[in-house]
Amino acid sequence: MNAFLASFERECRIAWRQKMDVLNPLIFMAIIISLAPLALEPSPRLLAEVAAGFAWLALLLGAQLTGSALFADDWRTGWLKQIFLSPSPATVLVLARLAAWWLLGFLPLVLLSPLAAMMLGLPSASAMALLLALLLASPALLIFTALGAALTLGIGRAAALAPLLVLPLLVPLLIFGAGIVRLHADGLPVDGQYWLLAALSMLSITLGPLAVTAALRLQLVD
Amino acid sequence: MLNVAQLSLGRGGRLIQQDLSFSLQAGEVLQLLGPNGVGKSTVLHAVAGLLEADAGELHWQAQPIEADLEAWHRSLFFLPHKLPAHPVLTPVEVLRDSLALKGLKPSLSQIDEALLAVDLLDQAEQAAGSLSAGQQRRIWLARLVLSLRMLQSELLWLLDEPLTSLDKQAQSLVFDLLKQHVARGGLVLLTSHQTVELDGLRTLTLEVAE
Repeated sequence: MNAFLASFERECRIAWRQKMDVLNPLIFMAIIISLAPLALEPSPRLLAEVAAGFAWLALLLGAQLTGSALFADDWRTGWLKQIFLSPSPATVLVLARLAAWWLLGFLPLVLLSPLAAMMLGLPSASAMALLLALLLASPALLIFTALGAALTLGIGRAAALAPLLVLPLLVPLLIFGAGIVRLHADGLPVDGQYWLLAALSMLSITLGPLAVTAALRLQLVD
Repeated sequence: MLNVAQLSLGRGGRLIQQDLSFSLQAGEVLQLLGPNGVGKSTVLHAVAGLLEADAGELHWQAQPIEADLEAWHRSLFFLPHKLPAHPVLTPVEVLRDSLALKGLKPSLSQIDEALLAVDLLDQAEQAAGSLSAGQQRRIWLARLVLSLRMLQSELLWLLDEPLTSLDKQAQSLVFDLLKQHVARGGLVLLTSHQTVELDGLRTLTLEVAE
């Protein structure tokens, strides 16, 4: 537990010093949302209809910005080796890394998305549904993104390759997650969809860190 | 203490070392020699357990290292050729984080003393990214100082090119640290293209695998 906390604190400290890594995805999302009315017909009805979908897409892509290079610094500086040579299980330390990134890389994006969608005219009741859906889906999104980052570590141009690997895997989450807002707007029950997202996230949190650690273990020799 | 038997290692699908055997007793320093690409670094990684060997066995204190990985990780310190210093962290933080991985919380004065020993105290609060290559390596010399003072269990040092980018004064500091480590019964396995000035130094020249 101490090792987890120490590692978590370290990652937060680094993120705090590299604020652009935290801010870039947020700015990215704001830009995508601002471009939507320019790309589409600027009618309030149409924009309100596509708002939730755009928020989902902006979040998925925004998370890839920093996510695809999640372990790059640790790898480049050799810290990854130290992690795997620690008496504490490497999975615990990797989990600390992921938890810190969820807090600083995902949570701000998730909190911003309903606001961004409301900017396009999404009713506030639907925005709450969007927020809950994204919150429930975010751990699964995070784990898949981290897995992509770990697998492409050490390959040049990994930043471009990882999203290509990860985004197709996120299709089920996108289908269920983006569907929630539509169903909710139609007044249909959406509890089932929430549970499904939560289940996918639970599964990812349970098995994901093991898979990410195994993928990182392959990249320890340079 | 450390026994490596019939180690075979591959890199990029090619066998680079075959049937490599050596052993190291308490208080011994072994320098791996050989041309570039012969696999010195790879051997070090394999001994640390960062790389799975194609064949061979590793024993530490007469036990296979897999028998108690936690104890094994407590017993070794690995200094890679690439430096584990994140550019935005200060030397103090790098040392504190590194020791936290071993479950230790050094006090600030202990860290300062170690940084003083490697002549880096003035840069203690500077981001590592703003330090020169030699100064960044000195952070890790301070880590060795802390190993000597605080980590009695860290008996095996694996040092990959520890003398790179160091000036004469820092190099003699490394030799001094090695001597102290040997005096406490420690073991050192290192690679270096430079002459290591140490009494009783053993060398092992690696040959290119057939």
